[in-house]
Order: sequence, then C-alpha cells, then structure tokens
Amino acid sequence: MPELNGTGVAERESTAHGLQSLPGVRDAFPALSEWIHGEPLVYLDSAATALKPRSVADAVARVYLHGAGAVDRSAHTLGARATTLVDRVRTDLAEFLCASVDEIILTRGTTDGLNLVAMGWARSRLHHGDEVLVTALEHHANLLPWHRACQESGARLVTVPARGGDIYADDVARLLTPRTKLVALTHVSNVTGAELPVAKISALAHAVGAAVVVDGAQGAAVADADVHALGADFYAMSGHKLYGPSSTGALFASRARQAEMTPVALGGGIALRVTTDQVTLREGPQRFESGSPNVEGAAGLSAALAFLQEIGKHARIAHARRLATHAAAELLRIPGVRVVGAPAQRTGIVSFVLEGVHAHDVATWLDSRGVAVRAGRVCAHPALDALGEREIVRASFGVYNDVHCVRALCAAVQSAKKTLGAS
Amino acid sequence: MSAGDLYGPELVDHGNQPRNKRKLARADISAMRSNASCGDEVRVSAAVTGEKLVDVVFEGDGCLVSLASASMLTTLVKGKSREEALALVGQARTYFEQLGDAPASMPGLAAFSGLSRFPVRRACARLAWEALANALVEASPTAASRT
Repeated sequence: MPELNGTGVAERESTAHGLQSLPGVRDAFPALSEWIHGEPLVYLDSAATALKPRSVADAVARVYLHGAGAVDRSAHTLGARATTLVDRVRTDLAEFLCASVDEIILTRGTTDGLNLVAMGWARSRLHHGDEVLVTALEHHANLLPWHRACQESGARLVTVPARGGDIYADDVARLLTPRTKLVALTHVSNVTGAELPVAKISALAHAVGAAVVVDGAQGAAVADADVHALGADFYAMSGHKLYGPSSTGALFASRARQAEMTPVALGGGIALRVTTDQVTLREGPQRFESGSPNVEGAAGLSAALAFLQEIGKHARIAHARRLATHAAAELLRIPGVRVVGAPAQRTGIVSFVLEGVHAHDVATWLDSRGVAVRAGRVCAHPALDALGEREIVRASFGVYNDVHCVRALCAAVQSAKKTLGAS
Repeated sequence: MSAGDLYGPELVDHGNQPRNKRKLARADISAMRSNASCGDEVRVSAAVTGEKLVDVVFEGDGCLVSLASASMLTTLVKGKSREEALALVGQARTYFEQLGDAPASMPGLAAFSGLSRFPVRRACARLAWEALANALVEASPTAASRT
C-alpha cells in the first residue's frame, strides 16, 4: 500500500500497541486457511457472523457422532447426556453475562429474544398514551417488535436522535417522561460501532419507572455484557456472533421481569401438569422454552464460551477496539473515504463510504481480493437515514484479526477506488 | 483483468458513464424495480411508435453492475419491436441465470461473465431487465402507444 500523508504505515503500526494476533488464536480457526478467488481469506465480517473455532465444530460433531437424546424427557443415558449439555450452556451463559442461572432463557438468537420481550412482556403492559423510547441507531430486530407493540397498544414510539453516529444519555434524559414504560436500545451500534452508555441510560430510565431492553447482538462480542452492571431488565444475545453455532442465544430476564412475562410459544417442556382444561406452568426460564431444545447448539455454544474465556474478556474486547480504531484511522488516510460516525467509544466495527463507488461494488471488489466485509443497509434503514447514508461498507473485527487484515483492507479499498471510481 | 474480476473496462465504462440515463418527456411504457438487498431502484421507460420502441431510457441510482446493465439494455433494445424486446428480455434472463456464452443477439452481455464468480450480484444485473419486462407486459403508465 503506498504511503500517504507523511508518516509511514510501518511506523504507525509499530507505535500502536496490540495490533498483532492474539497468541494461538488464528490457528484455532480452520476457515482461515480458505482461499477466496485465489487469495487468502481476510475475514472482516464478524459483526454479521463470526467464524467458528475447531473446538466448536468438534463439540457439535460429538453430539451427532456419539448421540444425545431428548432434553428433560428421555430417562436413558443419552437423554441425561443431552440434559447435561443444555444445563451446562445455561450455566456458561449465566457466567458470561454475570447473571444467575435462573435468569437465562435459551433462545434462537437476539431477534428471538427481543420478540419474546415484546410479545411476552410488553404487549400486555403497554397502553394507549404510554411511550416506548428507541434510539436512532437500532437494528430492525430492536425496532420492528416495538413498532408493532406500539401499533397494537396505542403507545407512542419515541426516537432518541443520534449525534455523530452515537447516542448520548443527555438526549435520552430529555425524552424520558412518566409515560415512558420501556427504553429499547442497542448495546453496540451495528452501523457505527458505538458502544452506548447503557448503564447511565438504564439509571435514567429506572428513575421514571421504565424497563430497559438491551439488544446485545453486537455488544456481547465486543463489549462487556455484564447485565447487572449495565442495569438491563432484559439483554438479548446471539451465539453465532460469539463464535458459536447458528440459531443459539439467550435472553437475560431479571427474576422480577420474568414474573411479569407470559410464554409466547406453548407446547412440550413448559408445563408441570396439563389436563384437558387446565395448565400449570413450571417455574423458571424453562417455561419460555417450549419444544425440544437445540442440543448440538448448546454443546457448540458452551465450547465457544470456553474458548472465549481462555482468551479473556478484557483481551477480547480491547483487541477488537484497537483494530477497528486503527482501521478507521488508516481508512481516513485514503482520499475519498468517509468513515461513518465518530463514536465516543468505538468497538470492533468501522463503517465507511468510498465516494463515487457503490458499497456493493466495493464489497465485491474486496471479495475478489479475499477480503470479506458487509455492504448495504445492514438491517438498520432508519439508522442510515439518520446518518445521511444510502449504503455503507462495514468492516468488523474479531479475535482472529490482526494488523495484516487492516493492511489488506486498505490496500483493496485503494485499488477499488483506482479501478471502479469514475475518472 | 484477472479471471476473478467482475469489473472489466466495458462494464466499468457503462456503469460510470451510462447511456440513455435520462427522463423521457412522455413515456408510453414505464416500470420500476427495486433490489431488496440494497434498495437500489431502476426505472426503465420507452417511447413507442406503432410496435416499435423508438426511444429507451432509464433512471435511478445503483451499483456499477446495475447501471451498466441498464445502460446496455437501452442500447440493445432501442429500435426493436415489443415482441423482439420481450424475446431479448428472455435471452438476458437465461444468460444471467446460466452465465454461459452470451447470446448471439447480444454479444455485449459477455461483459457480465464475471458474475459467475459473484452469484449474489446477478440480481443487480437483472434489475433493469425485469423493469423492462414489467413495462412491456403492463404497458404502464398508458396502455396506448402512439401511432
């Protein structure tokens, strides 16, 4: 990559700490040895879904190869094995979220969890004249359920504006009223990478009696998902962005809020006793987990959480932040690149626009160089509208990335500009 | 251009300097299609005299692939009858689906052969052609052509 604006790349990289690979991590991901269009894979799309370490693949394969029965149903040894795996992932998730085991509802992911809150908690509690606060940076998963909840109840959806691609507690404070029943916000923006001041906002919301629902799809991977420190009443997260299997995840729901919830899906596994005209539901999170649990998903997610524990929470979070911050600075050195948003606290995401070149063309060009990024409107149309962007290119960093990935990204963006830009 | 590249000189030229990207004072047929994955929209319109598409234009913003395809469409379809235009739409659909040899009637579509390595972008190339198909079938905004 040609040198730009004085200081050399090598010098900038040598003065930035922690841009090298985390020890031993890259070797744990078999997919990183893939070649894409004749180039080694540079995976910068962990915010969409993360690659999986071998230990996760092995854990999933073990379930299929050695057998696991039905959870909490079959009395035989394989049934007990399955029950143990699902019990274990609940314990592991509780530890990951700094919560108690009985506060963890197993879900198919963040969207599933947020919809459970909207349908199983908010629907019966929102009334005409109430207000639901959301931020201008929400992913559709934390917006569409509230659209519907408001339409059905007559409550009003109020949007906290974004400034510089970030959300500030002061702006939330101005919009909170005694009518606010719920504040739904993302932990980390999937567009700008901003980590929102969730703890401050939670304190403000609780002061007016509002509950706090946090979309942790991104935050669980690149920020500290200590749900009690955040002050969340609900925190929804996905396993696949945490290097675990697809269709796994959890909803943290405090005991007090769980007591106010009604199961949305009814069926096997949630009842203590059923007669032809009466149902007695069981206590605890299992009453929201109707149907046979995802055993192989549970095994894989436990393996992913163990893998992350070995790396360490602070090392994982700091690594992604440093790389994204370095990438934002390097991208800004390329003439014609505009980085989207300047958040006070950037996490592992950096979105940008290459002037005069459509985001999908940039992404395809990068793909032809082996660099995988996300492009488009990233399921956050109102957020892009608020930021004044039609579409964006998003690079996101995980535990397996390093400074070489940033270099490959910037080199490919420069060549895209040269070849695809209008002369 | 290496084998992995979608963006050959002809595609980039049509994409960056699209032909017939303008509005018609009076369109006899017109239709818009959008790409759900990116929100890009292309409107294809034509002036029709008798059965003949005497002028074909498009409007909209999009990626190089969708703009280049729309640009090429206008040059390929102008002067054709409705029936001939519909036949070209069919051939273009087949080409973008299979990405084998470009049809003999439209050798210029070979500029999109790189799509075979980037299949998710086929929808971009099809966008204008689907709009034209809609316009020809629905004959909007006015069913009557000028005679």
